Amino acid sequence: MMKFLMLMIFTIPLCFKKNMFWMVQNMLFLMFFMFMNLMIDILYYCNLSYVFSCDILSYGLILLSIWICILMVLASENLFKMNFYYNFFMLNLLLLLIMLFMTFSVMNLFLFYLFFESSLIFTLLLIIGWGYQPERIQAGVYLLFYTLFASLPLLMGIFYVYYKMNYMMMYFMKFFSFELYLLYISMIFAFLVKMPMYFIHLWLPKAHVEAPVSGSMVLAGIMLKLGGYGLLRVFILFQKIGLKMNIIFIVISLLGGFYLSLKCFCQIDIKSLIAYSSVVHMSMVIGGIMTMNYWGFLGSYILMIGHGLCSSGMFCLANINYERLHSRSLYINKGMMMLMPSMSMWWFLMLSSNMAAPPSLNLLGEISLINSLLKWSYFTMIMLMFISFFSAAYCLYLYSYIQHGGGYLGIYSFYMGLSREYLLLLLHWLPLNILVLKVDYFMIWF
Amino acid sequence: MFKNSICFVSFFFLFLFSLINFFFFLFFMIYNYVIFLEWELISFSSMSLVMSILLDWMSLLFMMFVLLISSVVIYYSKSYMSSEMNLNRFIMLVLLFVFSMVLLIISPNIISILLGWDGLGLVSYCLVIYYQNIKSYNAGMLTALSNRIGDVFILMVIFWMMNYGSWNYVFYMDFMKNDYVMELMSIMIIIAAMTKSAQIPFSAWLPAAMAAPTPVSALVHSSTLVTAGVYLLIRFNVLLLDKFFLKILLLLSGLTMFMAGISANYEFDLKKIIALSTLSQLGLMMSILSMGMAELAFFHLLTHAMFKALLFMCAGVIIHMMNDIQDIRFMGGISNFIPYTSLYMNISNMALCGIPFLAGFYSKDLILDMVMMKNLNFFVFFLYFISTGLTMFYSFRLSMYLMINDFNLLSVYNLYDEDLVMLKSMFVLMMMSIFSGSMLMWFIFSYPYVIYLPINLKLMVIYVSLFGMLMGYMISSMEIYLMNKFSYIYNLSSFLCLMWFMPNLSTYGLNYYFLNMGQMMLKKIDMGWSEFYSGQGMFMIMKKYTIFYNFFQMNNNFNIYLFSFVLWMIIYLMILMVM
Amino acid sequence: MGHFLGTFQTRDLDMEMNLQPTFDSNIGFKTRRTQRKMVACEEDLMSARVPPQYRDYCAHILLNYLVCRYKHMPFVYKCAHEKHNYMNCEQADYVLRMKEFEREKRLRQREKRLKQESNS
Repeated sequence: MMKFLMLMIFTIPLCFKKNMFWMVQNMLFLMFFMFMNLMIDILYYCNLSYVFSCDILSYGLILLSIWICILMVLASENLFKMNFYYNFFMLNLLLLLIMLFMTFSVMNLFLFYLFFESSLIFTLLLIIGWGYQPERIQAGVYLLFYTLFASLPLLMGIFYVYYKMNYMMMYFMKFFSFELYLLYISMIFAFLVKMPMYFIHLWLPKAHVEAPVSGSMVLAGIMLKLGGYGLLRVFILFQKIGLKMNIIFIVISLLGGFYLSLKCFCQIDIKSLIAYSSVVHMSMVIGGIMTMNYWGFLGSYILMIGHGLCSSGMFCLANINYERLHSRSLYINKGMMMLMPSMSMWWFLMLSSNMAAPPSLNLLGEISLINSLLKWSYFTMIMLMFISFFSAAYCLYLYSYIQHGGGYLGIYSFYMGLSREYLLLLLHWLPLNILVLKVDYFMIWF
Repeated sequence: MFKNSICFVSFFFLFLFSLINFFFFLFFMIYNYVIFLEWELISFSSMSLVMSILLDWMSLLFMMFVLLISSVVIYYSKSYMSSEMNLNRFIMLVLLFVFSMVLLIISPNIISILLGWDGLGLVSYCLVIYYQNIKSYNAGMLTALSNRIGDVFILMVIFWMMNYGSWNYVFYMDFMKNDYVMELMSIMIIIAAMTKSAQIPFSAWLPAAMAAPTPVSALVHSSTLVTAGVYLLIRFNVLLLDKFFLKILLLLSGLTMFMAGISANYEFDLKKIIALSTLSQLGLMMSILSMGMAELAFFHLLTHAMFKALLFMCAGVIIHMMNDIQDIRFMGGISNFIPYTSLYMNISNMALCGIPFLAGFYSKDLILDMVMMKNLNFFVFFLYFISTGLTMFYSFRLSMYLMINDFNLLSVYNLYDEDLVMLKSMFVLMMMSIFSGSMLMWFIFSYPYVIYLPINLKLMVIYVSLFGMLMGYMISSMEIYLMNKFSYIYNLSSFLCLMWFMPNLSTYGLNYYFLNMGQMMLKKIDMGWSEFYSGQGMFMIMKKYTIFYNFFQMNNNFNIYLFSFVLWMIIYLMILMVM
Repeated sequence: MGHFLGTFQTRDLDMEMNLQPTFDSNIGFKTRRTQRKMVACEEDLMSARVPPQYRDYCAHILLNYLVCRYKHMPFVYKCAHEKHNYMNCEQADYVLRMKEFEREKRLRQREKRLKQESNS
């Protein structure tokens, strides 16, 4: 596992040479294929070395983060063409990937927190440095302060856990159980803000909309999953108290998911709609984790991976429109089927995966989460029916608004889809829909 | 022949598969053979998610019909959609649709039914919005969302089936009939089938979906998509017997039959009349299912598919000929110009009405006879027979408007029978629609149905048909459409002709509430109280307090400086004194 | 529906569709009535997997028809003769059941009339 860290650190000098934009992506592909060759097994941590290890949960998320970083480079060719500080962009991306890799692979709870916070810095730099509108400053502030406000109690909680347990290895957390309400709230609150849960989700539409395409991809793809990963690791300590208190969070997130899916109909910005739909998916994931079921944990893992690929793909599609029209508004992006018919197929494929149409991973995740939530209580049936129905409704709304109809008459010139963009979308869609054939290999992680 | 070769190639292969399926069907029927293939995707915590294929005579026969109709429709659309730039895209969508339907037919497993069901809903959405105008857009949304309600119910059934350990429903149905979970599941399956087959609360989408191209209507809205719901209930029919919810299904589907028959008489759009006729026959299929005779429902499903697809294809030829006008008030005397097509139209109309010894007669007459042999109340009897009369009514009215009355379009015209491609494809369906009735009756029914009725009841079918024909003749020869504007019967006639206001219920009734709620929540919670308690609220608090502190620190006021100096000196002295 | 209409007359006699005869089967007949015999045997019916509702007194003719269908498949129209025989047998059975119902109805009417006469 050290070899990957060394690979990433020694790719950093490569960023500063001229015209090495695609070489860095090549290195990341190499790292991806090397990482795929690691052997993993369920129930215990494998590939131990110094502080690193991986079990299936972290393995899948590291693979997802490397894949998303590769696709981030593929999506940001504009920076390279326009010569807009692509060196620093590559540096930022590599450092972010290092932080994410470390977050998922360390076994120590405090180191996990350290890298969890440091990935925020690089995301902030990405949003403020390469974003498009002046509102990105406020978006960065929101992102930083929401997460920091919630994660400082997490730090205190980790110190208390160390004080009681005297070791910080995640594997040994299952021998301990805490029954303090304040500790419970302080430790899971950070992850709930990151996930995000309903009332504390306000940073997400701002950050996702104002970020550049690479920032949106990494935010939707990985950063939300940091919260899920943290919850999945930390809940081992709080099983008993969780069984009593989780009802609050399940109720808030399910009702929030319903309200948010209604709010999607009122958005006029494509990226904002996709951001709200991310929150809806994540609300179901929170619900699934909080039920403390086997189905819930596995379903939330699958939905996290599926959602990472799908939302990231949709942000790529939004950017494809943005690069041509320089607007994300629904009033301007209309009638795209006349101008880019092949891209309309990709819009449809991505949106149908988003609404959990078969055979995508999202469907499998949604089925597992519906099973776990309904087993926990039958009354969640109402909210889950509404969430499923309205997901389909707003996805079709987005698709038909963008693709069909007249077309904005103020377009002066337009170029068709580039091969790079089709490759980008294919690399998003293929794992999402093909992985369902061998899902038993990586869905069962404990 | 090879100009739009994707059409010919797919026609060839689909037709070949259809013939292969026919021979397999005969083989499986004789030996009562069933093949069950399974592939396990994942298994954990005592449930296993498998992908299964069930091949028994029912699925093979249905597949044969679906593939036959789709092959003929694709060949037909080679000529019908020949002026279309993106014909490849259209054919790909139709093939994807056929694939989803085949997946639905061969699955004994509720998860693979969900694959086919979701696929059907989404692909039919793409096909309905194929022509990109506002009407198609609205129709597509209505179609997709009505079908999505059924999807959601099937997702819930997936959960409830966890109770039994696997999702292969064919194993549990016979044994677990009386379990309350099975009852709940059967209610949900019934609602899902009702949304797909457009029964009473969800009927609005079927006439609206006529905004699709005609080959799509011929394939999707006559024989495959709408029969998916009936097929699901036929598969689950063991669950349906002796349950209370069946009476509700009987009532709703009988009312659907009746309402569609009445509304078709007020319609002047050619494709809408045929759509409402489909809706009426679907109501018939569902109601005979709810009486427990699933085989008869299946039989009627198959024969109906044949002549309804033929009827849609003839309508397509007529629309092409009339320069894309769908209004029957402009048509008339077409048998002078397109004799073959009007021949096919006549045959399919007669098959629809149940004229003796065509395809529709065998299924429809058998259904009506079995209804009379059963012990029903008068209201259901009334619905069945009046609907049969109404079928004859609107069919004869359609024939009158199209063929017997005079041509109404322009003074100078040159109408001609369409090219050989469309005629050849319609020929296949015509042959099937004549012969398939008796052929299927001989093949499927191993145990014959015994009908013993008094002569007047048996002839009741003929009586109502003749009465309907008479009414159709009278309606189309009088200028009776003006009578709808009389305020005396205005309320009643607008209720009857607007499909009992169900489109309004499905669109305005539901949309306004939810969209309003979303808007209100966005403004009041997301941009209101949530911001007040987190982002903007914190910002205002910080602003207020930093202004306050700034006053003491940065204003260079000598008073404040002296006062703070004195204050600190006092504190210092007090500390010194304490120590 | 026809049955429903026919039950109008039997409302006050407490008769419904699926009733069994309650009176002794020999009342009013000059010769002794014998019970019908089942011609087809149990093993044949089980090996042909005939559903339970079709295992009635005409089952032997049904078995002939099924054998003929199996032999001539797919040219099943050649079995029209056997089907006609089966339909005739079923019709005779139906007429017999109608007659039993009518007999039951008339015996009840007679009983009611006798009771009224003895009461008055």
